[in-house]
Amino acid sequence: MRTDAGALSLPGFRIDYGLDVEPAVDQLTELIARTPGLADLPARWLAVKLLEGEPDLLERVSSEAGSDAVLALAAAGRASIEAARGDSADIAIADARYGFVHGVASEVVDRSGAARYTTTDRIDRLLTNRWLGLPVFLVVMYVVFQLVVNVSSYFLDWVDAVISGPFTRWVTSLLTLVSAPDWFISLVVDGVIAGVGAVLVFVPGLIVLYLFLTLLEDSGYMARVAFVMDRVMRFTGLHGKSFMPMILGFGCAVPAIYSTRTLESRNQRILTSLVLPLMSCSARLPVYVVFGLAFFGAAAGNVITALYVFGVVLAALVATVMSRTILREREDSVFALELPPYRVPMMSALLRHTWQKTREFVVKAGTVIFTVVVILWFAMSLPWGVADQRDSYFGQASAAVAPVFAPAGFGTWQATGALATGFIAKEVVVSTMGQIYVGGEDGVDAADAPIPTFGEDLRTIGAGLVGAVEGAVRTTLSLVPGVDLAPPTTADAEETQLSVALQAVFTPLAAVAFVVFVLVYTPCVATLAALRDEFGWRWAALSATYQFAIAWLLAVLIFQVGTFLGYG
Amino acid sequence: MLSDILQAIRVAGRPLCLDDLSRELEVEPSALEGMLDTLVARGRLRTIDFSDDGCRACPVRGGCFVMNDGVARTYGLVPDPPAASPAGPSLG
Repeated sequence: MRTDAGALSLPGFRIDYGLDVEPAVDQLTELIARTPGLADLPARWLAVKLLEGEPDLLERVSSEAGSDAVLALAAAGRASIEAARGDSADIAIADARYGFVHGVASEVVDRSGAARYTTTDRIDRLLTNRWLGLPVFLVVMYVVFQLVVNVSSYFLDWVDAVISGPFTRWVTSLLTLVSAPDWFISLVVDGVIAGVGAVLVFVPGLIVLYLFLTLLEDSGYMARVAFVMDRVMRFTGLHGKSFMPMILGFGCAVPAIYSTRTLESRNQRILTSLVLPLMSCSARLPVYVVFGLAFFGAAAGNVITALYVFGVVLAALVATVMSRTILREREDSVFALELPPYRVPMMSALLRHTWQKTREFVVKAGTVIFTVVVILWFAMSLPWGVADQRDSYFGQASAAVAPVFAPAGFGTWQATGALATGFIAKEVVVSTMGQIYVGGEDGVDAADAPIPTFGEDLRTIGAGLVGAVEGAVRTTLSLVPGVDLAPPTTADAEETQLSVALQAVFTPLAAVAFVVFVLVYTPCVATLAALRDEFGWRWAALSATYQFAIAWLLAVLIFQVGTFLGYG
Repeated sequence: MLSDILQAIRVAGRPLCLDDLSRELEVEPSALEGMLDTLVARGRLRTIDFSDDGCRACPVRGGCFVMNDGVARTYGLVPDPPAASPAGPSLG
């Protein structure tokens, strides 16, 4: 790089690098000015660059005759600056340069005339209002869950029909065609398709959930929610910053626990991590939906919203107790949160985030859940040739534990088995039930019904998809006050095979007790592992123990009081 | 200014995000970004990327402290920074 020294005659200002740096700069500037080969470069600028150790310029200078003295003086200058500042010379010089810039900015930038009330400020006056903020948040979440349940129910019904109908038929035909043994056909159809399929039918619902939660985040609203919730959080003993990990808990407890690292106090981190599993993670949603649609029909959306709210309220109660007992905080730290401006989310980003989250779920279904359902199929098929699943190893073990849940109204080996596998991952609760209640049955087609052709199947699938899209669009538009385009739906239209099977074995009261138990007990082993990583085994064990105890007590309370009041 | 950033993180005893540093030093985040980039380039600070910490699976990550713009960039001290210059890119 060559520079015309004459052209670089800048107006008269220079950065003062301070007492530790300036003497070295002056000495070096003087020497450079006397070195013939360097006369084409501004001497002070070059001196500063050499003291910074700029590699290109060191190389350039070293190629000039008589530059040894310059390089030696630069090295000595760097050493003296480092000795004086206790930091490298380049940092000291950059420090002075940024200090100068900051000083200039402070002098000349006038912020007093900045627009005081932006659109964001005006929206915030409503959304972060002392009295309206919380109700607005509850209404927003209510609408989201209504959308999730109402809109996704059409797609849920379609995916369920495809998986349990044509897909199961095609796979069975294919395996029969290649003369696969009966046990293998059973493993694939009753195990993998019934188990993994029972979870995959909820993918449409989760896409809707992910889409709307991403919309709320990307718009900047979720940060406001933390602000609004701070007052509530403080009453419970939680820090305002705790709310974000708890919101994360709606997605997955594992990253939520890691995100508590943003809290300064260890006690606050532990307290937040102990209660955030009570937020209903997305893995629990399939359980809520399958039971909601089975037992509450059109009111399923309200029931699911109530479950989410119940989880939040329970977390607040537990936090209130723990913060005043085992996790008492000595000092109150200030919660300062910079609210980002509102923005209209970009559709591409919205879809990309939704896709990423959905893919994670599907991958999990294809790995963890697949593995569990295969193991479970063997556990339910051994000893080999067992006629009744109740007599399998899995059935016997579940039956041995089942009496524990009898006071809660679901003391069957099937429910117990589903809860036990749910300890691995909550999605597995539904897949286990799919295997137990649906896997052993003959599917949707009665034995004497005519078997549709491949072409008929494809036409049925296509028509089902069109119907689902139409139903979802109409239902969405019907959420606008005064608009009623929702197609008439019957309860049957929204029920999966599993929902129908559950109605035969659960009473509505036992179903409520069951989903409350699922809400409260440990989300999964990964959550416990995260707790152990962050805080040690003792806190992980405490988390599992207290959640199981409260889950059991609540389930028993709901069932017994409900029965006493005549709802059984 | 750079030493103030290092000092703030040292005093906090933990990594600080852009928002925290902005508040602590009373400097606009946009003004801090260049300084932080310099300190990272000089091997004095390291960026801590929470986005690889399991957050990608989470449906509400955009609303959390970890993933917000100002917090996604969190900076911690490098335990053993490079002893001395010459190093790093030109500051212009």
